Amino acid sequence: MQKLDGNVLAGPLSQVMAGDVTSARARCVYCGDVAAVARAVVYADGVRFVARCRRCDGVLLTVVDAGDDMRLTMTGVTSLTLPV
Amino acid sequence: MIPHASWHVATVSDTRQETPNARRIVLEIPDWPGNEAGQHLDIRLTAEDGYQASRSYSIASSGDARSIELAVDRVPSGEVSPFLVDDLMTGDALEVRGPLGGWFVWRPGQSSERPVQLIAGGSGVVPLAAMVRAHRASADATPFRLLYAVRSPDDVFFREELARESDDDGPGAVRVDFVFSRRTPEGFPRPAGRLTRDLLGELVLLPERNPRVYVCGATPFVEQVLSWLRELGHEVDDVRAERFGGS
Repeated sequence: MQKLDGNVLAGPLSQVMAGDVTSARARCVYCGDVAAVARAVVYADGVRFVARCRRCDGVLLTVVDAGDDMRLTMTGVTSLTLPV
Repeated sequence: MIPHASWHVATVSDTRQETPNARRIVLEIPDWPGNEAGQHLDIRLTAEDGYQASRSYSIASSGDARSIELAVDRVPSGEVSPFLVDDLMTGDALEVRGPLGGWFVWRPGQSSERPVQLIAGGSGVVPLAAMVRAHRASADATPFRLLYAVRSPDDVFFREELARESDDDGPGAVRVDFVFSRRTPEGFPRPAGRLTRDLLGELVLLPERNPRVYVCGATPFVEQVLSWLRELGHEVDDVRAERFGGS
């Protein structure tokens, strides 16, 4: 997987969220850091995406974008504030 | 409000060699809602056996047009870019999802109080070129500066668009500075060499001017630049960065 950033989540997460997720501010469960999703560290291979906190490296969320199905887990995010 | 992204069928209407290793691709997308400067799209390729690969590419154009431009660099070991650079032909159809991303964007008329500093590594210049073009098209008064780190003069993307800025003495022109890592053009003031912290400090707006900074390049380039910007006194939490890998 390649080390990228949260900008790359815009496509896969557009399948489940209206609005721009890269501008959304996420709060990390582990360290409380609040930052735009675009600033997260993301490991990706085009199908699987693992977003980690830029501060503590905790896993914020994972996405599997496999054609017909898309699976999102958000175990590391306590709140997500989206601009509307 | 950004239009909601969805999958579209795009038709290749034109391609041309951008550099020996990269290609400019013009796509016609009848239901494209327009896009902002800095946004990207995802391209999905499907093989005959059903195997799919998708990758993100920055858009080099912006505005309401139903026709958009990409500039794609060939990553030899990549799954998608060699096809786009070497095999794609005019008239071919592609699946694209977009427009994507509302964070790594520059909007004309946003505010001219803060000057803008763009920092590109290699093909990371693509979304920043969209910003330079949007700045010119809108005659926006925000002072703009671009630092473009690239291997050699042959590898420069958007040669004409950037020359137009360099040749314009007016106050609205973008100041473009090149750092050539392997070979310089004849008469270039600095020898070839990689970007250093000192050079970065010399070629970007000072922290005191409170610039809005955008950085785009391969992940190691972006991370090196961010750490140097911090050491030079820039507020790195305010810098907008976009990283890419080899694909």
